[in-house]
Amino acid sequence: MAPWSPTRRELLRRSLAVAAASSVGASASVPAPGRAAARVVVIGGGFGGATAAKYLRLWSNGSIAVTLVEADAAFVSCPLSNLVLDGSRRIDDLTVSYRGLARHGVNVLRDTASAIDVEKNRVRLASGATLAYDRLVVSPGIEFIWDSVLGMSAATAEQIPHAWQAGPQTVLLRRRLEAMADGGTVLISVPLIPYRCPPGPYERACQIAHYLQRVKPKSKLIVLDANPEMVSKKPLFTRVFNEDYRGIIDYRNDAPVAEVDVSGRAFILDLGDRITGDVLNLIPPQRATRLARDAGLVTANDRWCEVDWLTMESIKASKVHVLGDATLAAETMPKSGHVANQHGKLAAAAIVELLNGRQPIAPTITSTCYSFIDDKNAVHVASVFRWAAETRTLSVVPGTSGTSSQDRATWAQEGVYAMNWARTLWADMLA
Amino acid sequence: MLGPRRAQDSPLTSFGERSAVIPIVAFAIGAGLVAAAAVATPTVPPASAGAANYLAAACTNCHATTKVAGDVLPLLAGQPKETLIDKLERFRDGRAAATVMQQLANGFSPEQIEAIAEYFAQQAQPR
Repeated sequence: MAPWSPTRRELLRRSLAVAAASSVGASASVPAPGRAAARVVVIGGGFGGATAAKYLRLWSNGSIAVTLVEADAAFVSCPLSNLVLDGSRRIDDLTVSYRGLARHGVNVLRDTASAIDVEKNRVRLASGATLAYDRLVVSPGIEFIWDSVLGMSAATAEQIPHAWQAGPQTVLLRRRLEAMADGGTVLISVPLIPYRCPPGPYERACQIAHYLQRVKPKSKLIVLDANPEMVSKKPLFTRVFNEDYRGIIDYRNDAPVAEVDVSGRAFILDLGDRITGDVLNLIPPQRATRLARDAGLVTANDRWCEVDWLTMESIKASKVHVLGDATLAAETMPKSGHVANQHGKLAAAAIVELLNGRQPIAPTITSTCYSFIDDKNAVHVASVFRWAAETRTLSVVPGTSGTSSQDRATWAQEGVYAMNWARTLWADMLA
Repeated sequence: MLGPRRAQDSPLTSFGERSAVIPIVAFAIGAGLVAAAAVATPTVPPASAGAANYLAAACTNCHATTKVAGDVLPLLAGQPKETLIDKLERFRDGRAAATVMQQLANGFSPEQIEAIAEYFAQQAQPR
C-alpha cells in the first residue's frame, strides 16, 4: 500500500487519538506521540484558501499538517486592481508573496490540482504527485463561460481583455487605455449577476473615467450592463456617474452583449445593436472552475457549488469544504475577497472542531466591501451574517446591511479606510 | 442532474443571490450556540474553547493583529475588556461617530461582544 493511503485501522486509531486529546475543550487537536497529524490539503491560494491554510495552523496550534496547492508564485489582489487602470496603483502594489504562510508552517506547493478523488480522499497534481487528505479545502475561484458570448474565447481575451482576474490581464487593459488616442471610446460589458465582485464593474467605470477625464478628456466610456439596473451601491454610483463623470460615462442598463466582433472592435447586443469602441473590456459570465465541476462539487445551475453553511462542507462530497466565489452564495452574500476570507476562517474553525470530535460552532461572519470612485474617495457596502439553524443558512443580521451615506465628506475618510482594509486583509491571509 | 432554474441566475435587484435551502434537520444545543454538523459524530463533546477565537476573527480582516506603519484603525489586542464593550455599544446606539462600525456592531449579540472583548483583552498588545 502506498504511503499516503493509511489502512482503515490506522485511520480509526488516529481518530480515536484525536477524540481523546480533545476532551478538555482545548482548540488544538494534539495527536498522541508517534501518530501522524491530521492532514488538510487546501487547493487555491486566493482570499479563501490562503486564509483557511493560515488559520488551520493557528487554531490547531500547529497540530494539523496543512498543504496549500497554488499555481502562482505570488498572490495578486483583485480588490484595488481597478486602480491600476487609472494609474494610481501599480500591479506590484497589489502583489504579496506566499512566504508568510511558510512561517506559519503551511507547506506551500507551487503546483496545480488536476483531479480530486472524493471517494478515496486524495488529490492528483499536475506534477504527477498525489496528496491524501483527512479534510480537503477547495477554493478554486471562477472560470469564464466563454461560449456564452459569440466570438469570444480565452484567446480573444488578448484583444479584448476581461481584467477580471488581477495580473497580466489588468496590465493589458491599462496599456490599451494608455495607447488610445484622446477622443476614443471605451466599452465595458457587465454580465448578469451572479458574478465575482458585484460593485466591481461600476468601480472600474469610475477608475477609467477618472483616467480619461485627467488625460484624455475628449474620450467617452460606455457601460453596457446586462442587468436591469446596477446590482450594487446603485444610488452612490448613479450620483458619481452623473456628478463626477458627466459627459464621460454613458451608462446603459438592460444591455447584454451577445456577440463580439473582435476585428471590427464592436459589441453586438442581444437585440442586434452594434456598438463600436477603441478599447473593449468584456467581463464574461462566470462559474466555479472545471476542477470543482469534474469532482462533482458543482450542484447549482451547472455553475456553483452548494455548501452546508455551518462548515462550508460540500453537499455532495463529505470532508470536502468549498470556499469563496465558487459557492452558490447565501442570500445577498456577495462573491468577494472579504467574504472568501471569512469563508476560510469559517471552514478552518469547523475543521479544527470536527477533527477534534466536536460539533462546529455556529458562525457569525462579516462582509465589508469598498469601491474607489477616484484615486482617493471610496464608498462601502457591508453586512453581518449569522448562522440560522432553522434554515441552515447564513442570514443577514437585522440592522447590519447598508452602504455609505450620500455625505461626500465621509468618502475621503472611507478612502483612507479602504486602503487600510486592503493592506490588513492581505496581511490577515498571508502574513 | 437537471433541476429547476434557480433564482440566483435571474437578474434580480440588489445582489439578487438566493441560495437553496438545504433540507437537513438541525438541532440546537444549549443557548443555540452549537448546532449539529451535517456529518454524524459519535458523541456530543463539550463546546470548544475556541469559540472566542473564531468570533474575534471576524474583526481581523480590518483591524490588524500586528503593528503596521501608517495603520489608521485601532489595534484591538491588549485593550481593556470594558473599553471595547463600551466602544461597541456606543457604535450600536450612534453615540460614537462611524462610517461602517454602526452597521457591524449590530451583528453581534451582547454575549458575543463580551466574548470578543474578553478575548482581545487577554491578548498581548502588539509591539
